[in-house]
Amino acid sequence: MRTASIAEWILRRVTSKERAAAMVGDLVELQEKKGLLRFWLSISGVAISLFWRRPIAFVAAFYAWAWVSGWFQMAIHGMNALHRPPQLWMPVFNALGLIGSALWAFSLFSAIRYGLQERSAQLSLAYAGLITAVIYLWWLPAVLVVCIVGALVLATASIIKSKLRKESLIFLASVFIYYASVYPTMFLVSVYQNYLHPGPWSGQDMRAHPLLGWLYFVTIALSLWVATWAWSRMRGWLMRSQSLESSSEML
Amino acid sequence: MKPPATLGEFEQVVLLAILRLDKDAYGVTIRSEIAKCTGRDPAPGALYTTLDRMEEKGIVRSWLGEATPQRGGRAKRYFALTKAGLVAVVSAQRAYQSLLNGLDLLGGAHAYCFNC
Repeated sequence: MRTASIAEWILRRVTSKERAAAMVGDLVELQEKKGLLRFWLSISGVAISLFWRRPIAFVAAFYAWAWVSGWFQMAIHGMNALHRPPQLWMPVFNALGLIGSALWAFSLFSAIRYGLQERSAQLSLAYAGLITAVIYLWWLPAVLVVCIVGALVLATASIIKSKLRKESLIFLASVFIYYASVYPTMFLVSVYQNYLHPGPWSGQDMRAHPLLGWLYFVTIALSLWVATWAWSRMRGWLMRSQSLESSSEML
Repeated sequence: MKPPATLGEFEQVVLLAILRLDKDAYGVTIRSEIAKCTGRDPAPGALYTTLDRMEEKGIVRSWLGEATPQRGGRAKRYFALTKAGLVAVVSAQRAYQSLLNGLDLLGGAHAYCFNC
């Protein structure tokens, strides 16, 4: 009985309490026929198959965020950028860069965790693609017009269709949560940086204080983790409400 | 009208097993029904992730049943198809049926014989 309780505790880390209990109940029922070793192999198999997507999706999202935000920064502020946006429009492009990099991260997270057929991943990817096109090709009037019209069509569809509205809210809320958590913590780390050495930092300063680099890394990773966790939770609520709706159309 | 959900091969197997079991479809019976009918014993991890995914897609619904001492006092989680699930599995089977039409693989004078 203790074995089953331990197994249930393990499965509760990766799924809901009721589902974990039902799964362990099924395997306990089979344990008499198949033995303890088969029981634990089955528990491990269930735990891995329920869990593997989340860490991989998170690591991929983190790297996507780091890579994309670096490229966006170079396109917007880079010395060798093909066409730098006018100074007046810089705040808009900075905001687009921030939102776009988060959307690429969330698209990848959602696609790996739930599959590319996931509506929120598709919507997020569509917006991310439009933002990327604007950042890289804003100086081509045709591209700018197509992107603005595309964004307006997506936004209108998201407002009119209730299902799309809920899916859009998931990624908008996740982007908000990400920046609402990353900015205050980054501010605290920058205060610490200023305390260590006021003014601009050189590479030598960074090497002298390796902890600071790690603090920035952990801050971004934790904020992204919180946002992806929120994304998963909101999607879970949405799916449960849709499941209830379809249950009302039972056989 | 909304098109029926597309189903993978294993999803169809699981849905047909649930339909065959009627009111008694839970993890253990679904696995044994699949093993009995197809000769393959699905891994529990594959079965539960498929059931969870189909529930999220609104293809099946689940509810908790009675707890038995045999299961250490844990409730069974029963499954049934929703209307969307039934439409999806019928549509998938019709597609197979129309592909099979005229092939004589399952019966008739030119039926495929595994032992020949």
